[in-house]
Amino acid sequence: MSIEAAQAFSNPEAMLTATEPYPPKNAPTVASRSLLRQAVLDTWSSRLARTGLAWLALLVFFAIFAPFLANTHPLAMKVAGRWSSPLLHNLTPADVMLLIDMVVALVLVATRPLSFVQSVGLVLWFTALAIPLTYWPQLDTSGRFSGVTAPPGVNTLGSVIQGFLVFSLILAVAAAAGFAGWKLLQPIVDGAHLSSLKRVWLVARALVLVGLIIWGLVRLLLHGYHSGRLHAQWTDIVMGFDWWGIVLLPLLIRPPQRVAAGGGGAAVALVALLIFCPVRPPENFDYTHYRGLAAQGKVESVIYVPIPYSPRDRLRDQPDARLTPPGRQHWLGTDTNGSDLASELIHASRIALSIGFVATGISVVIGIIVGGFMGYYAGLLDLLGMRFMEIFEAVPRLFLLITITAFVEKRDIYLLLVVFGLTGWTGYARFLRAEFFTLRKLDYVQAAIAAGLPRRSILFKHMLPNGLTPILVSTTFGVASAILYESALSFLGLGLVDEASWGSLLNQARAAGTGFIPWIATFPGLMIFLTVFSYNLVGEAVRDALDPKLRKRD
Amino acid sequence: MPEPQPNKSPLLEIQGLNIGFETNRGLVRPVRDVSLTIFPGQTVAVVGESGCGKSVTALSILRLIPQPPGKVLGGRILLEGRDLLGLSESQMRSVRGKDIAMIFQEPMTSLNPVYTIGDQIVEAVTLHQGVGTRQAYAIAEEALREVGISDARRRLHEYPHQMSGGMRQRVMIAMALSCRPKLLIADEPTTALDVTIQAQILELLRKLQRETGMAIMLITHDLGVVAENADVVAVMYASRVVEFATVEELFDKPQHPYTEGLFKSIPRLNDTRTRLDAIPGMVPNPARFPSGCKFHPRCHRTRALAASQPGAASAPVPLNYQGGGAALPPVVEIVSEGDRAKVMGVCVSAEPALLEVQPMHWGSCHFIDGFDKAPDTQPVSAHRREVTAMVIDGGVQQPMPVVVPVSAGEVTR
Repeated sequence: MSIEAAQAFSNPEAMLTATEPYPPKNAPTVASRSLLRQAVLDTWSSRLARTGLAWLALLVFFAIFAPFLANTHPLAMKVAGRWSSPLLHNLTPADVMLLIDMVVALVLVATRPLSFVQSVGLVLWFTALAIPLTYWPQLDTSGRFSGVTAPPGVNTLGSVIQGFLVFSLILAVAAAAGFAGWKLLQPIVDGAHLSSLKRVWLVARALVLVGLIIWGLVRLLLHGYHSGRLHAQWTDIVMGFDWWGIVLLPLLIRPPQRVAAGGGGAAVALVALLIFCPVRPPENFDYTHYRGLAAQGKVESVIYVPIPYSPRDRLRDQPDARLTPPGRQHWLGTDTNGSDLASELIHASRIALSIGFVATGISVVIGIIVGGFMGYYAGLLDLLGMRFMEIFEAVPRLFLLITITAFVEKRDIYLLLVVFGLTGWTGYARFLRAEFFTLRKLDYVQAAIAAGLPRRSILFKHMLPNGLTPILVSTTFGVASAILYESALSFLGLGLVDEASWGSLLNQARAAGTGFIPWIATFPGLMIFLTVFSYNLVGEAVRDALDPKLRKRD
Repeated sequence: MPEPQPNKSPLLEIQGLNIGFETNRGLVRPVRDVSLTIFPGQTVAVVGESGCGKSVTALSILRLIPQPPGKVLGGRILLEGRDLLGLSESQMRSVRGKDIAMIFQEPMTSLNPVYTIGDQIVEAVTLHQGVGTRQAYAIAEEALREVGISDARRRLHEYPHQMSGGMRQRVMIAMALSCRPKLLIADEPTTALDVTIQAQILELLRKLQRETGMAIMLITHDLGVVAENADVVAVMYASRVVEFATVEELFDKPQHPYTEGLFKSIPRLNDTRTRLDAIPGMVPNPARFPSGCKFHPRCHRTRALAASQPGAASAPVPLNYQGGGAALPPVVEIVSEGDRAKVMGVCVSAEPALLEVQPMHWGSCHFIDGFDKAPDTQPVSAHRREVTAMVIDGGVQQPMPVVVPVSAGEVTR
């Protein structure tokens, strides 16, 4: 066969124009949507999911506005001719941060300056701010500056500044050491395509990220001990570190978002500082104070919130208040301590939501890291990881939770968040490992490697978003199960010590000596049921949206 | 025929490459003793059936073979004199995409579905060219325009699922070429596309090659594509290069019986045959290669020669015959897939080397004329054909017959 004949055979282009216009004229234009955005829209289109989301939205409303819904502190009060607002004055840092978060979220939704993913990231970022801020040392009512547990003579603000400076010094030394070390290693390490500064920056960034994650976990665990065993000054130094974390975190984000997140974060931090420094809600407030004032006739006029009882207001001035059935004064009755049940349920929705989201979030992050590395590197790492996971999974989660919490005296929400997070990650790791096994062989991952992209980009940018689908689905169910586990622990008396959660209220329904109390069993049980049910509805819709093949209808 | 120009140094030299895969059935060697040289601006086609090792060769240039189970048993891959096999992983990353880019067979799955195509091009551009995001978007837009995508600015913000296969392959090419690589490895770039789009993509590759002067390693099993594009052709069969020549030489005077078989199996319009010639049998599994010349169970030449030889054959020889070279009689009988055939003994006992059977034409078959005396030289050819120039000029050459492409099935009916 001659070459001309062969050419002629496969030369149809003589009758073609090499570039036909694209797109064809009059073609309908489809707006570009990211996968996540499409999934959210699809989820929203399911009526059951909307029902579930409505209940969850109500819970979020309860959580954010809890002090404005149920509070013994009057919203406004006129005493001796002067108006004051005890409620605003007694807002906790967490209350204020939630309000700020909500405002940020509303502004983002209304103005849409960022993409959907960026908006979610920004709200999460402001929520992250709330954690260290809730421990910011506060002035007590007398105007003296004192930390929650600071012994006399310790200047809390001083130690925070001290911590800030110490950490800055450590960071500077670490950066200098890193730079010097890199200079020494430079002949060995190839830096052909990276400028030296860029490489130092990358390493420092990775170190800071890893450090912050570890630090956050240590920080959360430490908190359980700080009031008694750890010297107060240390906890305050710790707070100084947290502030560095707030400043540094935006640097980890890509440039366009970095400015927004950094600027917004700095603004929020400044506002919070201005709010919290002069305000300090006392740990244990004498709630009978207001009713006493009213009884003495000193209150000229007063505006209460809808439920005028704080969850820890045990109505000590009313001897008959314990176990009041639902009625006009107490809508859902009172519990064995005399606290208003409705008020407790509303405030406890914060615990349920934070256990659900934060604990599951910790689990997902651990699961993604472990499962991702196992799936990408396979081989020996995968083998060891799987065996470790099997050992871990051999102990039922509830027993593991009971075993850990039973030995801790001061169980607060942060301990529970970490413990729940650390015990629930295996499922996510398994999902992501399986996804990565298939993903790493796919053409676009191979193409990304062939394009010379760095490993972190291949792992986190090209593989992770494509493997997240099953994790997103199981996260919604994971949130529901975390709430159930928390309720179970609380019911067994191993939940939070100083705050009422839905589960611990349920426990009170069978408290010794009083028999079965129907209203205390019904309402917390209903809250738990509705919440778990809603998450399951949403989870089903998310699964349908992300994996149309599993869809039951159409 | 132009001689190789000694003043021009090769861009990529593959020397005696051997790749092995550890499997539970032992070591499998899909690439054995492959040598290949690519000069700047040259198009080297690697032709062969599926499973002959051409994709593994291409992947091993970029070190994309999963290790383990894969490993390099020997050989060197020199890019401008630098051995790629000896580079660290981070050094290799700076070669990938920047010096050597690759486009894959399946445009439908080669783009990440969760990012817009602009994001994907920009990521590679910012990495390899060290420019800012804004400038990278301008480069990406220009790259899309270069590959003939209209309305490039809007297209940048579209997702892969909004594009057709041909468009996606254009995007892949744009992505590969946005960093101006010296070598483009195109692994069957048009196989998954329909014929009209194939022609457009190949024309686009030729145009971009003229403009940028890059070399192309074109992996294909389509001889029509080879005739259109290649300067030099390496025919691979069962893990080895069996014939290496300039494209004109190969099409005019194919030397290896496998190459002959390939040409015979192309359908022609002015043909009255009802059936196409096909090479009998299957590409052997790399785990169980036949002994001697790997092509002998399917070879028409050795069968014809054996039939013309007097004397009865010996007892049937198994496919993986392990005996020494001299032990076999001139004609032996083999059993392959239930088919008994007489072949020449030397084909079963000894594997032929790749020798320069004619000037600038390398072949690997015992029964090429003058194979015994052919010199054992490195297969190197810097040949660039002039056909390319004639195509550019249009009208200067004789007008080509316009042929409506038809599928093989329609011809045989």
